[in-house]
Parts: sequence; C-alpha cells; structure tokens
Amino acid sequence: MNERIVPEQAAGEPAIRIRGLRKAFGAQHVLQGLDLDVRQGQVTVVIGLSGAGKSVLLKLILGLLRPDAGTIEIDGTDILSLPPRKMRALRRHFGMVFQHGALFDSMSIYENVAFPLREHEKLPEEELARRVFAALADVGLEGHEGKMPSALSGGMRKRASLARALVRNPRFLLYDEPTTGLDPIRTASIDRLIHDTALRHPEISSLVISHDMTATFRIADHVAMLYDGRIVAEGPPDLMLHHEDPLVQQFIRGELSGPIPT
Amino acid sequence: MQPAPPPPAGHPLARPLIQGVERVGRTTRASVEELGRHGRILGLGCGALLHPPVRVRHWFKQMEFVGFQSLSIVMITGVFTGAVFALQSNVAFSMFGAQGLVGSTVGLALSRELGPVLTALMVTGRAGSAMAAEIGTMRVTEQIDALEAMGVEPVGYLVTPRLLASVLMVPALAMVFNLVGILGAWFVGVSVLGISEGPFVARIDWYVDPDDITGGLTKAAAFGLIMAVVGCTRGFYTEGGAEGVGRSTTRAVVDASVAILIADYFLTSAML
Ligand SMILES: Nc1ncnc2c1ncn2[C@@H]1O[C@H](COP(=O)(O)OP(=O)(O)OP(=O)(O)O)[C@@H](O)[C@H]1O
Ligand SMILES: [Mg+2]
Repeated sequence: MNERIVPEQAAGEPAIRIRGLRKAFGAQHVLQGLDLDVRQGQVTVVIGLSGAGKSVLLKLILGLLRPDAGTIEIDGTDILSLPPRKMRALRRHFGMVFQHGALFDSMSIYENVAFPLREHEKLPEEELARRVFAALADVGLEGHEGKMPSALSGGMRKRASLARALVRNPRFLLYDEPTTGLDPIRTASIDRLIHDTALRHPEISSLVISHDMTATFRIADHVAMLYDGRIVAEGPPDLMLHHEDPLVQQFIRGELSGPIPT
Repeated sequence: MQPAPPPPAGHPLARPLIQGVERVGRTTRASVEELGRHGRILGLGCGALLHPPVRVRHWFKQMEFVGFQSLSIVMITGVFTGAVFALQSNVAFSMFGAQGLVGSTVGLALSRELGPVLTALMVTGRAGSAMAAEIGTMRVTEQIDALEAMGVEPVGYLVTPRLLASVLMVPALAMVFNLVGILGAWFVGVSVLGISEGPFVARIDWYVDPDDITGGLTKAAAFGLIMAVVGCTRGFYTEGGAEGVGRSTTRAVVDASVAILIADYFLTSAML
C-alpha cells in the first residue's frame, strides 16, 4: 500500500511479548506453547484456520481468560501477576474490536461509542459529541448514531464496534476479524483505517486477526500463522508470501490439497 | 466372534454404591460452587457501593424498572388477595359470629406474611427473570467481555444497581400490596358481605402494630436481595447461547422463589 515508517528490524522492544502460552478447554488443547511478539508501531496480523484459537489468544492478552501456562508481558509487565484492579487500569489502554461486535444492545450507536469516554474521561458534552462523531465518521457511520444496534446490519455493527475501540485513541488495538462480512469497498476502507491509524500513531501497536488474505497483505507489517496451537511461521508479508512451509502456502492460497486436512 | 467387553471395575455389588457416592460427591461440589458464585456476586455487588464510580442514573433506572413497572401487577395481586382472604376468613369467623375480626385478620396476614411474600414472588417472576435474561444475554453476546475489555468492572456496573433497586423497591411494593389488599378486603367485607364498617376499620387499627408492618417490610427487603442476587448470578454465569439464557432465566425464577419461601420461615421464626 505504501512504505512502512517502522522497518521490521528497526522496530523497538515488543510491546506485547507472549511466551509458551497454553490454554485448554477441558480435553481440548487450543493453544499449546504459543510465542508471539507484537512490536510497537507495527500492525501484526495473525492468520489461522477457523477454530485455531485466534479469538482465544486476544482474550488471553486482555486477561478475559486465564492461560494454563506461559507468560504475557505488556510493555515489560507480566500481566498474569497483576491484581485485578491494576489489570483493569491497564485495559484502558486497549481498544478491542470483538468478532461479533459486542455492542451494548440497550444503547444507541452514539451511546455505545460514547461509553468508554463517559467511563474514563470527564469531558464536557460538546467535546464528547465531537469525539464520538469523529470516530463515527472514520468508520463511515455518520447519520446512524441514533439507531439501536439491533437495527444495524452485521457490517455496520462491526464498524460501530471499531469506532468504539478507536474513540479513546488507545495504545493497543486488538481487532478480531474486523472486515469479515463486509463488502469489498468497506473492507478496503476499514483496512485503510487500520493502516492509517497505525501510520499516524507510531505509539500504537496493533494486532489483527484475519482470514482475509488480501486484507492481510494490504495492512500487515508482520504476519504470523497460528496452526495446531502454535505460531508455525512468521515474518514480513512479502517473505510470508513466498514462505517455503507448505502449511503457509496452502493456507495463503486456499488450496484443498496439502498438509492441512480438509 | 466379537471379543467380550472388559468387566467393569469393582465388585458387581459395590458398583451402584460407588456410583451413588460419586453422584453425591459431584452434587455437593456443584452446590458449593453455586453457593460460591452467589456469594461472589453479592460481595462484589455490595463492595462496588464503596468505590467510585457511583452510577446514580443506573440506580434510578433500575428502581423504575423493579418498582414502578411492577406496580400494576402488584396492585392487582394485592386487591384480589385481600378480597379472597376476606371471603375465606368470613366463612370461618361467621361460624362463631366474630365477623368483626375479618378486617384485622386480613390486615395482620397481609402485613406480616402475604404482602412481603407474594410481592417478592410476583416481582421475581417479572424483574428477577428479566435480570437473569438481560445479564445472561450480555454474557453470551460478549457484552460483559466488552465491559471488561474497556476496564469497567461488570459486577459494579450491572449488579449493584439491581441489588440496590430490589432491596429498596420490593418493600415499597409490599407496602402498596398491603394497602390495596386491605382495600380489597374492605370492599368485599363491607359492600359484599355486609360487615359493619366501624368495627372492620377499628379492629385493623387495634390488632395491627407498627411492628407487624416494619417486620414485614424487613422481610421484603431481604426477599428483594435474594431475588436480585439469584437473578444476577444466574445471568452472570450463563453459558451456551440463547438456550443457556432460557435455562438461566427459568432457574433464576425457580431458585429465587424457593429461596424466598425458605428464608421466610427462618426470618419469621427469628422475629417471633
Ligand atoms: N469459552 C470457551 N469454552 C470452551 N471452549 C471454547 C471457549 N472459547 C473458545 N473455545 C474453543 O476454542 C477453540 C478456538 O476458538 P476461537 O474462538 O479462538 O477460534 P478462532 O480461531 O477465533 O476461530 P474463528 O476464526 O472461527 O473465529 C474452538 O474450538 C472453541 O470451541
Ligand atoms: Mg474468532
């Protein structure tokens, strides 16, 4: 799309550093020793099969689930040893776009986007409105602020959720399939938004979950593939495109024959 | 030929015993876990009152929902309970010509028992179920995760206003129930059964103490707490999509109703 301001090697210490992460639900081992770095100023995209544990990974990073083993460090702080109050304070630096939006269905779109501002920043009402409308404009939802979430299409809900995640300019952005279910034009504009947000704010670290290969290679500084509970391959997008691992090749090209059972 | 299945472990006669013990163990563990969940919601819900933010707007919204919106159902139940109680006690008292006691009997029964208990059961069906359904839906659609993700403590946000509203509004509604119940009894007693009005009213005043009323309202507050804790806990720990929300809602109403009736016995015997 255009040049990266932070080249792969020059990027600083990882903002999020994950080592040996394991998580099982009963007998189902979802993550089995996952290592991943999310570098500051970069957009890291995690790709992987449906059910691979990508959403679980995001919930572990936010502390919504507890891992069975492993460490997660955010800016060098081990979050698993943080007391709940500290963890809650840390989460205020995160914006999360849930896979299915997770909008509050008792509130209008405006109130949904205003919610994190009302909770954490004491703003005069005009300033609040200005920020909310700016966030809604970013995602192309002007004019829909009065609607309830149930009156929106799936794609619109997703964009409202994106506006809610962005409105406080958080330092960490976690996107769970931000463009799944959107039309190609919207997809491109959300990709541009993710990319531009990262470009404009070098202090932001973004972690995007995606199935969408076009989008992935459009926005990523770093791509990691999650398979069988681990990151099996990672690197800058152009390297990943020509990665020798047949798993990566099969996934990127969406082929039916290969090491991934279909 | 098929190979014979391996014989199950243990002496054949001991097997049902082992299974029985296992079942008791599992049930005990599950009940202890359930109790822990309710305790956690109650503790965090009350604890949130001590920390900012104080969400007065949410309190009022819940009070409106639990209280004002239950008013009509409580009034209808109250009038007919008082009326039918007057009919029934009239049958009993007219056997020995003590119809003048109908009013005071209804007054005592309402303020001490029927008002608090029936109000709590009606409000549980209306508001307790809604608490489980709303919070349960928020759980399964990840809205509670979204609250957490934004650094908002979900129990303080969702549960505390409902606890507070229930503890305040169930007694208020029970008071309304008492009043309209007496009116129902008065109408039936005086207009339908022809009991003279003077003694009907005077005896109520005579027999019903302020203590009967405050005792009844204290119980109502406790029932409100039970309803809200059970409804919110069921909602908060909902699993399994829309079906799970349905299950939580039903269990909330059943559990809260049973718990209210059991608590009624113990509170009453403690107050006597
Ligand atoms: N709370 C939970 N309880 C039990 N199992 C769970 C839970 N959350 C996730 N799982 C299981 O973990 C696995 C990974 O789920 P996850 O939602 O992370 O997949 P995903 O990679 O995000 O898939 P998709 O691309 O389809 O969203 C799934 O098999 C799922 O059934
Ligand atoms: Mg997912």
